[in-house]
Amino acid sequence: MVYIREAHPTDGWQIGSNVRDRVLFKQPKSVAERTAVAQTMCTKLKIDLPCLLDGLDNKVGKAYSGWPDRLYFVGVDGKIIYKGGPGPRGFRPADLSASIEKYLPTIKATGKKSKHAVRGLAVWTGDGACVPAFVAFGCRNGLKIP
Amino acid sequence: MVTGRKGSLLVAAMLVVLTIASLAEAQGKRKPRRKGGRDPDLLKVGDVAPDFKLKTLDGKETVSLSSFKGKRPVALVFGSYT
Repeated sequence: MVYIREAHPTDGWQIGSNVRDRVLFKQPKSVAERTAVAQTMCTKLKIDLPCLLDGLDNKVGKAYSGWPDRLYFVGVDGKIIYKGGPGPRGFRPADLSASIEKYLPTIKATGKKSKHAVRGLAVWTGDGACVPAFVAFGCRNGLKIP
Repeated sequence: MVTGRKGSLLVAAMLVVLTIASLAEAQGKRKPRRKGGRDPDLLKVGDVAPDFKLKTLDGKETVSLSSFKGKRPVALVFGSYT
C-alpha cells in the first residue's frame, strides 16, 4: 500500500462518518507525522501488508492521481494493466482481483488464491510468482505463496 | 436596414461573439478547485507506470517500482486513513 495524503483530515475536508468513527487526524505536515498516521492506520485496520510512505511533496500520489484512493495493477513489463477509478466509488477491489486473475495465466499456467484482509481484496497469485499486493517488495511479510 | 444574406451573416457573427463572451464569463466564474482535491488524471491502461522510490514506514528500506520490472507484476493501492 502506498500511504498518501489524507483524504478527509480534521483541518481539511472533514466528513461526518469520520467524526462518528473517531477517525480524526490533521493533515500530516512532517514525515514523522505522516509515518505516525500511517502506522496507526495499519494497526487499526489490521493491515499486515507492506506499506510505503509517499513524500510530503505527494509526488507519487500525484503521478498516479491516487487521491483519495485508487487501485492499479502493473504487469511484468512495467505497463499498467488495470487502473481503477478514484475512490470511494471507483475503488473496486473485485475489479482489481479480476484483472489479476485474468493476467496471471498469461505468465503462469497455475495459480493459488491468496486472500488479504484489506477491504476484501483477494489476490490471485501465480504459483511461486508472488503478486506483491499493496505495493510490495518481494515475497515477504506473509505474501509469499508456497 | 440590413436584410437578406448580409443580415443572416450579421446575426451569425453576433451569436459567435455572444457565445465566446459567455464562455469567457463562465470560465471566470468557475469555482476554484477544492484545496487538496483530486490531481489531474494523467495515466491510462497501457502506459508505462511511472517509477518511484519510496521508503517503508520504518524508514529502513527504499522500494522502487522498477525493481519488479521483468520479474513480477505489482498491485498498487493508494490510500489514507481518513
